[in-house]
Amino acid sequence: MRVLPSLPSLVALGLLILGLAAVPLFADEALLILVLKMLVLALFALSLDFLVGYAGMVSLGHAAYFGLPGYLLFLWLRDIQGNEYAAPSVWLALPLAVLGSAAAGALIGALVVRTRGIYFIMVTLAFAQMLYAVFAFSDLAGGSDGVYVTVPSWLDKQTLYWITLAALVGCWGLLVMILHAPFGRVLMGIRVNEHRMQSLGYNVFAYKWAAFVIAAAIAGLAGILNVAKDFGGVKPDYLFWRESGFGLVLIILGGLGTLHGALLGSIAFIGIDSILRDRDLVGQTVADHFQIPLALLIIAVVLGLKHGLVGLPHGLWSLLRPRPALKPKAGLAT
Amino acid sequence: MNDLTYFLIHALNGLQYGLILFLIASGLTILFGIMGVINLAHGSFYMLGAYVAAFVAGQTGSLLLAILLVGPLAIAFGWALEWLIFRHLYDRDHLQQVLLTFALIMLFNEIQSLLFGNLEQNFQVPQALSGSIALTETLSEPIYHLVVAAACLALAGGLVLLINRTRLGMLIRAGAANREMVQALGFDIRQLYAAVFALGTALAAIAGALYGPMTDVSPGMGERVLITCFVVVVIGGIGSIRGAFIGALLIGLTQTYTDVYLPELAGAIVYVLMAGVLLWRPAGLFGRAI
Repeated sequence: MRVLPSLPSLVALGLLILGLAAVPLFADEALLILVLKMLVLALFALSLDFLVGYAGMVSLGHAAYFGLPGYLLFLWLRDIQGNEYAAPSVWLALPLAVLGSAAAGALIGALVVRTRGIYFIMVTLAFAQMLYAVFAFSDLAGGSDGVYVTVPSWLDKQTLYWITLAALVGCWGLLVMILHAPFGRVLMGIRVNEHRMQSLGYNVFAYKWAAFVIAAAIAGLAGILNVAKDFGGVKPDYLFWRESGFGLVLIILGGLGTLHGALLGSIAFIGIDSILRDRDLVGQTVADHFQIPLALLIIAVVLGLKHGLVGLPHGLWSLLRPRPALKPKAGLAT
Repeated sequence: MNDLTYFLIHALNGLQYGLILFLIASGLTILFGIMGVINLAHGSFYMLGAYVAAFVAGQTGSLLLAILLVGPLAIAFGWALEWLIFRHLYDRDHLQQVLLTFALIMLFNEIQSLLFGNLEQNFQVPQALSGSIALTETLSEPIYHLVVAAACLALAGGLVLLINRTRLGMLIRAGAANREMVQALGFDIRQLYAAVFALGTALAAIAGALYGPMTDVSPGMGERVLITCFVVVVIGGIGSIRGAFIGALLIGLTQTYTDVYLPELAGAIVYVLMAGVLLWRPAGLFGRAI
C-alpha cells in the first residue's frame, strides 16, 4: 500500500504543482475558476481517499462535511455575531470550518463507525441526507436556495487559488506524515484485516473513528474554500449524496489508495465534464444529454481502469515492455 | 370533527405510504441480502414505472392497462438488466457496485429525459376510482388510496407467500444463506438470481405505477424514494423481508404523523429514527450481523 509515489512520479507531480501554481498568471477568470474547482474537489477527494483507500471505510455521505462549513459560518455570523452580512475574518472562517466539520464527523462517526460494509455505506448516506434535509427543507438557513456569506475583499480569485493550492499540498503532506506514522500503519492494517488487528489488541473502533474525524476535517477545509470559490454562495446541494458519489468517482478515476490520485482524478473528471457540457465543443445533442457519455465513462473506468489514472503509466509500460523469450533448457526431455 | 378521526385517517395514510415503501424496499433488501449487491439505481425503476404507466394511461385512457403492462415490461427489463450488467456485480466489491449503479442512475435519468422529456407528468386517477368514500359527515377517504393499499397488501402478501411457502422462495432463502452449497446441490443459481432481480425490479416499477396518480411524477422522484428505502432496509435489517415490512410501516407512519404534527422535523425524522434503531440494534431490527 503505497503512500508516496515512486521518485519519477514524485518529480512529475512536483512539476504538475508548479504548473498549477502558474495558472493564475495567464488564465482568464473562467479558466481560473475551472482549475480552482478542480483543486477544491481534489482536496475533498483527498480526504475521501484517506478514508476509503487507506482506512477502508467506503462512505457515501462524505459530502456532509463538505457542504456543512458554509452553513456553520453563516449561522455563526447571523446568530452569534449578529450580522449575517459581515465579511468573516479568516481566523474565524478556517478554524470554524475545520473544527466544525471535525465535530460533525466525531458525532456522526461515533454512531456510524460501529457498522461495516453495506451498513456503513447506507448509514453514512442517510446521515448526510439528514443534514441535507435539515438545511434544504427548513427555514433555518435559506432552504433550497441557500444563503450567502460575504467574501472578504482581499480574497480575490487569484489569492483564493494559491491558498487552495497550498492547502492541497499541505494536507497531502500531512496525510503522508500520518500514514507513515504508527497510527497510519495501524489504519492500513485495519483495512486489510480488521479482526486480526483487533486480536492483536488494537482498539479498532478508536482508530477508525479518528480516521473518520480527520477525513471530515479536511473535507471541511475544502468546503469553506468551495464557498469562497462560489462567491460566498452556500447551497444545500453540496450536502447531497450526488456530491459524495462524485467524490468516489474522482478517487476511483485517479487511483484508489494513492493520495495523489485524487488530484489527477479531479483534473481529469472535471475537465471531461466541462468539455461534455460545452455545446460549442461537442454539439448540442451531446451537451444536452451529457450525463450519458459521463455515465459510460464512469462505467468504463470502474470496469477497466483497475488502478485508476495513476496506474496508467505502469499498465502501459508493462504492455509495451519487451519480454525475454523463453527457451527450454538443453538436456530436458520434450 | 374530532381529533381521533383525524388521527385514524393519518394512520391510514401512513400505513399506505409504508406499503408502497415496502414494495420498493423489499427488492432492495433481497438484492442486498441475497446477492450482496448494493443497487443505487433501484429508485430509477420506481421512477420509470411511474413514467411509463403515466404515458400508457395518457395514451390509452386506462390506468388498469397501464399497470398491467408495467409488470411484465418491468420483469423483462429487470431480466435484461441483470443479464447485461448486474450479473457482473455479484463478485465485485461494494465500492465498485456503488459507482456502477451511480452511473446507472445518470443513464436512466437521461433515458427518461430522452423518452418523456424532463417534465412532470400529469397522472390522472381514472374516473371510476376518483370518488371518495365518506367516513364521517365531513371527511372522506379517496377510493383510489384504498385501492392502492389493497393492491399493495396483495402484492406484499404474495411476496411473503412466495418467499416462505414455495420452492422458489426456499431456494432464495437457501441462496442467501449459502450460495455455493445451493450450486453444489445442482441448482442453477444464476437463473435464480435473475428471477429475483427481475422480481425486485417489477415490484418497484409497479409501486411507481400504482402510486403515480397520488404523487408528483417528476424526474427526481426515484432518488427521493431511494434514500427513504435505504433507511427502511437499514432499520429492518438487510436481507429480511419481515424487517423491510415492519421498517416500511414504521417509517410510513412516523413520516406521516411528523408531517402533520411536527412539520419542522419532517425532513430529518426518518434519519433520527434510523439513528435510534442503530444505537439499539446495529444490524437493524431483524438483520443478521455482518
